[in-house]
Amino acid sequence: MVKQIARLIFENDELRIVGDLTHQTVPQLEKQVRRYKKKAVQAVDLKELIYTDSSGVVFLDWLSSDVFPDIPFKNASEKVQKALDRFSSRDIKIPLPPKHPGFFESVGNFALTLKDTVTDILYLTSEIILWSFYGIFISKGRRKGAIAQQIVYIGSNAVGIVGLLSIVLGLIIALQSAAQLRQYGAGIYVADLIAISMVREMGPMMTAIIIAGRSGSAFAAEISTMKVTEELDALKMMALNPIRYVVVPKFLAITICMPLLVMISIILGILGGFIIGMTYLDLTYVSYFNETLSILEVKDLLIGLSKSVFFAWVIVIIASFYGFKAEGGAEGVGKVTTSSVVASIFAVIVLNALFSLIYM
Amino acid sequence: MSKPLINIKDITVRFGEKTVLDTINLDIFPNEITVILGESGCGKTTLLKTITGLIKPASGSIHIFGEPFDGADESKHDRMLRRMGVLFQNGALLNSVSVRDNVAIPLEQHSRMDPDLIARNVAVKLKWVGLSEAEYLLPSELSGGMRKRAALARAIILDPEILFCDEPSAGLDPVTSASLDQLILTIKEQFNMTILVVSHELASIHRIADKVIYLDKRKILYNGPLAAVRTCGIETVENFFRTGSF
Repeated sequence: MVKQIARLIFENDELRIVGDLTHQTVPQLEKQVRRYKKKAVQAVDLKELIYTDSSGVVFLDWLSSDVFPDIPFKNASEKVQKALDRFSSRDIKIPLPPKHPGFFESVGNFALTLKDTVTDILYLTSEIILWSFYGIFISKGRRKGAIAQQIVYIGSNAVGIVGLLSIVLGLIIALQSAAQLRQYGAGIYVADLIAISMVREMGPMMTAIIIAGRSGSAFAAEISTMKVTEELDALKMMALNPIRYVVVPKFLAITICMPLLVMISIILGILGGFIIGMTYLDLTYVSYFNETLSILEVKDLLIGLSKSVFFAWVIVIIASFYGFKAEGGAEGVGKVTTSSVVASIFAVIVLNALFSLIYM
Repeated sequence: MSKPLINIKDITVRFGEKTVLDTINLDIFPNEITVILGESGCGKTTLLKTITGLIKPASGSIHIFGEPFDGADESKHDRMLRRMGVLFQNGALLNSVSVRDNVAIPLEQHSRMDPDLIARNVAVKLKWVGLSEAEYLLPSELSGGMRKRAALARAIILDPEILFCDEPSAGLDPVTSASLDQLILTIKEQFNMTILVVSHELASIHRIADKVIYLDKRKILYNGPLAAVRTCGIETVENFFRTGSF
C-alpha cells in the first residue's frame, strides 16, 4: 500500500495543497494550516491536489468556512471538483448535543421517577402476592414443575456456598471476640455471642446477601432477557400472566428455601464458633452447646426466620421490578441485573436494620 | 479486464467435522456490486465472514488489494481493514453510545483528526444515509431500518474501497429495503466502491446486483452477471429465480 502524503505550501499569499487529501493526511495538514492562520491568505490552489476523499472535502470546507472565511479555491481538477460537489458539507448544520436538564428540572424528574417507581413496585408486589396465594387454587396458567425446579436452583444448589461462607463467618466472629473475652476469663461467652449474632442477625442477613447476588441477579437477567426478546409479550399473547408464569414460582420457591438456608447458615455458623471455642479457648463441646442452648430462645429463632422470609420477598420483588423495566437489548439486561443486585443488597441491609430496631 | 480486488483461492471452511464451504474459488472485481445468494444455511454469511477474516478457513488463501489478507501481519492486516467497511446483519451498533459516537469511532480511532472535523465528517455521512436528525439518539431508539442506515454510515466513514453487506434488507419492509438498496447504489457510484452483498431477497438482488454468486451444497453453482442468471442452464439457480418471481 502506498503511503499517502500531502503538503501545504504558502507562496505569494496563496496556499497550495500538494498530494492526496484523505482521512490519513488531513490531520497533518490541519496542523500546518494553523501556522498560516494569521497570514493574509487570498486563495487555495488545488492544482497539485491529486485525489480527495470525503474527509478531504470536509477539510476544504472547514478551511473556507472556519479558518479563512470565503476563501476561493482555484485550479481544481475535474476529479477534485466532482468530489467537492459530491461531498460538500457546507450546507450541513451540525446539531448541538441535547441540553442537560437544570437543577430544578432534575429534582422534579427525580420526584416523578420515584413516584412511578413506588407505584410500580406496589402494583408488582400486590400482583405477586395475589397470584402466589390465590393462584394456588387455580391450576391454569402456571408451569408444571416450575416451583420444584426453582427450589433446586435457589435452595439445593446454594447450600454449598451458604454453608461454606457461614462456617467462615462463625470462625471469624468467634476468633475476633475470643481474643477480647479471654482476657477477662469470659471465653465461654463466645458461644452466646455466636449464637445470638448468627440466629438473629448474621445468619439471615448473610444468606440474603448471598441469595441476592446469586439468585436475584439470575432472576433479573432471566426476566429482562425475556422482556427484550419479546418472550413476555408472547406469554401475554398466549393469555398467560407473565408475573404468574415467571415470577410466582420463584417467589414461592424462595419463600420455602430461604428459611431452610438460614437454618443451615445458623448451624454452620455456630459450628464455626465451636471450632474456635475448642481449639483456641479450650472449651468442651458440652459446655459450648449448653451455653448456646441456654442463651437462645425460640423467639430468637422465629425472629431470624421471619426476617429471612421478608428478605426473600424483597429479593424477588426487586429482581422482577428491574427485569420488567429492561429495555435496549444486551446492554439493558446487563444494566438492570447490576441495578437489581445493588438495590437488593441495599434493601436487605436497611430492612435488617429496621427489624433490629423493632425486635430490640 | 481489470485485476480482481478480492481473490479467493481454494477456500475450505469447516466447523468441527462439518464442511461448510468446499474449495471455493472466487474473484471480485472493482466497482461492481456482487451478490452472494443461495438458500438459507448454504454458507453465504460464512463465506462473507471468511473473506473479512472473521472466520479462519481450514485451507486456501485470500488476497485483497492484491496482497495476502489471511496471512498478513497484524499491522498490515489492520491497514487493510481500514480500507474496508462492513455492514452487519443487525447493524452491530454499540448500544451504549449515540449514533454520532458510533459513526465517529473509526475516525476517532484511526486518524488524529480534530474533533471539529470529525463532527463534520459524521454529519456528512449521516446526511448521506438520511439520519441527520438522529445524531444524538441511542441505537435502542432507532427503528430497524434506521439502525442499518446508521451502521452503513459507520461502515463508510473512512471512505473504504470495499464494502461488505450482510443481508442489508433482512427484516425490513419493502419500502425501507428499497431505499437502503438505493443508498447502496448511490454509495457505489459516488465513492467508486466495490460492494459485496449477502442476500436472498430477490427484489433487492434485482435492484443492486451487477454479478451474482449462487452457493449451493458448499460449492459455487453459478458465478456470473445478473442479466444471464435466468438462462444459465443450471436448474437449481433458474428455479431459485423462478420461484421467487412474482
